Amino acid sequence: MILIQCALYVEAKPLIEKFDLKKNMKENFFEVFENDDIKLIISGYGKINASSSATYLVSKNLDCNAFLNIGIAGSRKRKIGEAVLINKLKDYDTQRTFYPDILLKHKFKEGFLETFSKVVNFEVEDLCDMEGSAFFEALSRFLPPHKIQLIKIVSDKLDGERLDFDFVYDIVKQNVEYVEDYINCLNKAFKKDEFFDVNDKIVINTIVDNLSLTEFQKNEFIKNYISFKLRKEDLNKIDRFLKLKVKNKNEGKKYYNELIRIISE
Amino acid sequence: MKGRSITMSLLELYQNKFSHVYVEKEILDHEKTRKILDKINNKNIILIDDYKEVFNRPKQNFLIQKLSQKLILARKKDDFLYKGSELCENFGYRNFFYASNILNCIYDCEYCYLKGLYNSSNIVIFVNIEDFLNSMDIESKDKQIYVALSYDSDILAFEGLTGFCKDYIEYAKYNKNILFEIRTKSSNFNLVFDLEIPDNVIFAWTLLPEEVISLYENKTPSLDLRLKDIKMAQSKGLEVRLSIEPLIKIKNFEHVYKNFIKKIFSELDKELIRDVNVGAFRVSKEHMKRIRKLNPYSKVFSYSFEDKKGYVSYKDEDYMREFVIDEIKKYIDKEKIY
Repeated sequence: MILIQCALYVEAKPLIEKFDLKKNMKENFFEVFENDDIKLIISGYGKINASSSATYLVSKNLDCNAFLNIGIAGSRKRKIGEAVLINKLKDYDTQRTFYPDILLKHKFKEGFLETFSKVVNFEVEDLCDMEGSAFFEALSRFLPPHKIQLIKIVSDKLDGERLDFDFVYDIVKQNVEYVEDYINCLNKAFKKDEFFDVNDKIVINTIVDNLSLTEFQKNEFIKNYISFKLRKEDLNKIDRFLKLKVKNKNEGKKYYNELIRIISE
Repeated sequence: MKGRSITMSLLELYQNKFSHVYVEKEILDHEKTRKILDKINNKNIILIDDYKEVFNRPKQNFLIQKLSQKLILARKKDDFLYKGSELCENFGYRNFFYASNILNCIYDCEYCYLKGLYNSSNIVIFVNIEDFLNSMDIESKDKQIYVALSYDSDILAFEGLTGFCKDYIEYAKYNKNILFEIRTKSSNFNLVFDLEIPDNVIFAWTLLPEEVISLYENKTPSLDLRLKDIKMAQSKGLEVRLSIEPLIKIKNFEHVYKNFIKKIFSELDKELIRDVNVGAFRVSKEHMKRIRKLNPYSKVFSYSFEDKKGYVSYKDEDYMREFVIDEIKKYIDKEKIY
């Protein structure tokens, strides 16, 4: 699962269209659009909205492969429409700096983002927005830094001009293919492989059931089963425990001890 | 990659090692910084105030970062010499210290104690070697000290980038109160081959059977390459130290280790082996918990371990050690075995 945050609907619209996201009508606090692999939340502008919406969405999807903030930013040094992957960000109010881990290959330029509480019309070092640092800081409680990513698209030269809806839509849309590529990479690279396959699960559940294992015994059995599997031992060694069914507690204990003796080294 | 389930196609998604270099602003103009940066192509330089901002971030994933390690260049501000741990062999030297110019390692050994030691697997290089040397001047002013230089990293593995071994070798020529040990798994001896290496610098190679290397020592040079390097050192007349540790359990342990010891001593010049240390795998109980939490599915820890008065080791650690020592005794005097 990939999570995305956009401050405004217009920033999200090209993504909603590209990934064919549908509005989840059960969500009351924020607008959320989703398909089976992506959930996109519209936060509203500013740091409080960014942090509360990010926290809201991540807390329901802690096993996500990544959470991206995608939106527009101002910069006097960069070209309008340029998409930038942020490798350093700073909160202007607290002067705290944050560093997303950029581990994967991508097609963006990289840059430094400063986040302000108010609209700015003066020179900044590279890029500026009104959400980035809050998004990152809030998510740092939940996710490792390689899963918190920000892609900023340069929309203005900090000259105070009001941005038109179609213009913002167009500059985000121009970069949607790059965003899609990056999301595919994040999904592929950070997806967790399950250690137990279907057969392991059947073996474990059957033995736990057949031997009426207590919670403690079950945990010990699973711990030893992991080592047993890692050592590539012959599974036939525990075949008989799949066929027997204990009748009372004492019998269960006896077979449990035998099982542990066989699967531990 | 050896000993890992990660596939090549997955690895191709990751950026190259040192794609990003974080540099503390105050050492941007340090000579060592400039030399290191010159040697790295296609890097993003990110300026930082303090290396801890990056290195100590919460919730970093040590194992995933290993797939695209970043470099952090910093200035060490204090604690240039640490007292050596009691779990480490001090070879009879009372004043045993270690220095850490580099934190973390480019190799990725599954059993490595660095896992769980730091929040991050990114590499930190402290460029201000002059401060390390000053501290050694002071500490060794009126006594002999033994300093392990490859304690938190493999300093020779980084020689092409840092030149630290050369700096320490030059320093050792003028401070006879110091005894350095440079321990390595690398095959980089050629980088210091042309230097005059004084008696108070010991080169030590960590060796394990190829079967263990290929299963658990990801990204390290093979046993043959290491032996080739040792032979190169011996060809200069250097007396080398062999470090057979940590003994790692493997199927057919006796057969594998017996052949391994035989191979070492059939290839190397026995007269030019200063000593051999044999060490079991030992970590503190708390540290073991951290390592296991990081990777509960590590093959290396699929054998039985035991809590032994404050540290954790293989259940049959004593037997393993004695077996290997007995094999070594067939080739060299027992006085040379630690």
